Amino acid sequence: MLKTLLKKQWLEMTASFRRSSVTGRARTGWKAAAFLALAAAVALLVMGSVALLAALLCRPLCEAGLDWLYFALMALPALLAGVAGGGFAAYGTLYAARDNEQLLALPIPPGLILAVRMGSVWLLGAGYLAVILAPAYLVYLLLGTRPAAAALAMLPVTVLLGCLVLAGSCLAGWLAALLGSRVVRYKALLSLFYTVLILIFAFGSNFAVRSGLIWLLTHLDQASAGLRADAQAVYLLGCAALGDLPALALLAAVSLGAAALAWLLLRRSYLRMMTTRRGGARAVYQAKPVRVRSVRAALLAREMRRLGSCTSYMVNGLLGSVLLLAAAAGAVWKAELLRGALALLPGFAASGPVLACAAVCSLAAMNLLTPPSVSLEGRTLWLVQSLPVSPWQALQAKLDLHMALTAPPALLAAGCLLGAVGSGPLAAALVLAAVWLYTLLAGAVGLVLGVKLPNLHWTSETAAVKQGAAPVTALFANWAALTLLCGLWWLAQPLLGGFGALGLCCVCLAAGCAGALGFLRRGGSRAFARL
Amino acid sequence: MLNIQHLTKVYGGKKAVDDLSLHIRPGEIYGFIGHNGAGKTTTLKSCCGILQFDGGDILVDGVSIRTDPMDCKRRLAYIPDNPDLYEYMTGIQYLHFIADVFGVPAAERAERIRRYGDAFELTGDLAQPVSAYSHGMKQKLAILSALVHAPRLLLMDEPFVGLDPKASHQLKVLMRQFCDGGGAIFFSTHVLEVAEKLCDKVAIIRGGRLVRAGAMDEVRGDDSLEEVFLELEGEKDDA
Repeated sequence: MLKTLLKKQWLEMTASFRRSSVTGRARTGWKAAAFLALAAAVALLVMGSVALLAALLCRPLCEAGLDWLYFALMALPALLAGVAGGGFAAYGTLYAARDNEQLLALPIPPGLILAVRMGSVWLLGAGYLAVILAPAYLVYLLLGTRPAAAALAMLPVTVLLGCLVLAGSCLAGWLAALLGSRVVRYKALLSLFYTVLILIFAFGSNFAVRSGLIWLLTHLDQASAGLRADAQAVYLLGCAALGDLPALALLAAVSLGAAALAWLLLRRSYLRMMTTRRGGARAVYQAKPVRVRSVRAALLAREMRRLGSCTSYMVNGLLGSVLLLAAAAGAVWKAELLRGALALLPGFAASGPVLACAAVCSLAAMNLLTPPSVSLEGRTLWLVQSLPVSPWQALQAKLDLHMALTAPPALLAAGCLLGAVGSGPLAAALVLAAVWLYTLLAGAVGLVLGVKLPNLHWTSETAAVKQGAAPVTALFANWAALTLLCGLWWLAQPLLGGFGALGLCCVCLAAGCAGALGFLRRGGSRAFARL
Repeated sequence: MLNIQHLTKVYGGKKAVDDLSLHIRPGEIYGFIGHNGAGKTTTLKSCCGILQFDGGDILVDGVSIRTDPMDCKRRLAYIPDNPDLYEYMTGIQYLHFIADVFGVPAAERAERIRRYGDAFELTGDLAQPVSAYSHGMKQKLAILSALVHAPRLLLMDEPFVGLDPKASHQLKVLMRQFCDGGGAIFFSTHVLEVAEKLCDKVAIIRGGRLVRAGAMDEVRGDDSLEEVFLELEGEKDDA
């Protein structure tokens, strides 16, 4: 039974590698190879950026004899990222999978179904961890002082930390499911609130880790002594990662115990939560005056409702907007500090508006509304295809959603930052134009990827939103475009001046937008019609 | 109203529909029967522009779905066999969405929603999210959404599946009224008794090829439709 269930879960998890998520048919030949190459390239890109950070930390810490601190510093953010990312995946995999009812109708103990699903969550969490831990270990093997012991510890530490991530993310998923089963009204708003809480926790931890890191590197001796004395768990984690056997045994006991405890806790309520439908007071329909909308407005309203119904879509899609609003508030609140910091940077004082523009664009790049939007049509794709709506109109609505929810906070953040750093009207106009064009480009490129790399055969919405090739590729494409634009500005600035170079960037952005929109109108629309 | 000319659709080298030609005129209820995988759904999906086809043409009111799919889609409504509707909308939001896309004026849509909603006893549930609907309720909502923009042609894939007896009867009445008003219906079904009583014409498809088509009395002759169908399937003796 266990073997059969594990096989089913494995087939489900690896489905996108074996069959086309567009047609549902088996991938063959170069298409399978290309898909694997794309997945590998994305993983390598993330791991490369982690390796850069690891290389910065590894040498000074190892030279100070604080190898354990290096691993503790790499493992803690990995754990946080694993739990924050895994929480939504756990909810989708454990409680919102489409085949839950089908499995519960079979003579399978619910605890076994839960265990197998938790296995899938563990694998995902271990994957998140590996993306951070593998480059961290690789850097240590090259620069560290005890590479052999670390090499031996790499696999068991990843496996065991995966169990800790599993426990944390499953409890987060359980909490989400519990709230979802109790709350009938304002579910979407509460989901968003829950999400924002997690984000505040994740980003708060991230900022704390960063500021702690700077302090650590400048106060190494003091910090290591303090941590060893006051944060034994961190010290032991670092030692375990280095292959210290007692510490490794302790980590094994804690992480396996936490995973087992999570399974026991969740098992008690699993069947009840999956089979209880509380329902709410039945809303009685009363005819109201009808508000007739245009086709474009109707399609946009549909996209809005789609967004409001899916928590993971809101999180992935609106993360940039939340950060942009926070940046706008921060720019107003800490305007003096920003001006002071800018004054300390020689040669950058006059480039304040450009830096503000780059900062806003980097945050706007994180709004991934368009990349999963085609995949999310899923089995309802027939509807928009059968209506008298052209493929371009359907795609345009997705782009409208992106612009409606990204452009206003991006322009607001840009305005606030410009106010904080000081800017003339020409610079302000160029920055606002660049921000608007970049936002449009990011949305359009995301949509191109969404049409070309859709996943229409998902069993959980989370798979379409988070695990598809389009969202990940879009994020990197957005950042790559921004890096290229910064490089262009840097090269053109001596010739054209700061504003001239910014104008050139705007022209390039406009050309990019025209190209992406042109593709969406023709090739993209044809691809959408063929799905 | 619907003119299917030499329709051919190939999936990976296998012809799912092979040189199929049919003509459905205004006022006709045209039944489409065949075994599982015979090509019924492929044909219906091709007719409403969901599926690209490899050969032939499909004309709706003389307009080719290949050259002007938008114009064709404005004249028809499609109801699939498994109504996967937008579960994040309420029933009434879904109906308004469809009405907005078709540009139905406020007064007309309100009147149609009330009329057809009452006929299918769904009016009281229109404020519920579609995700809370049963299969039958979704089917009713799909039928309502098809009727809310008053199409001239209805394409239905197994429309009676999931409907309760009363709704099933109501649908048959509505289908007849729709065609008496000048509309045309092309629908697939496995319920041969329904096809026999309801349809003016019938087409039988086997392995993607049309094996018999025409007026119900001509196709059936002195036998029942079931007997004719089984004979054409070569299973009469086995049955």
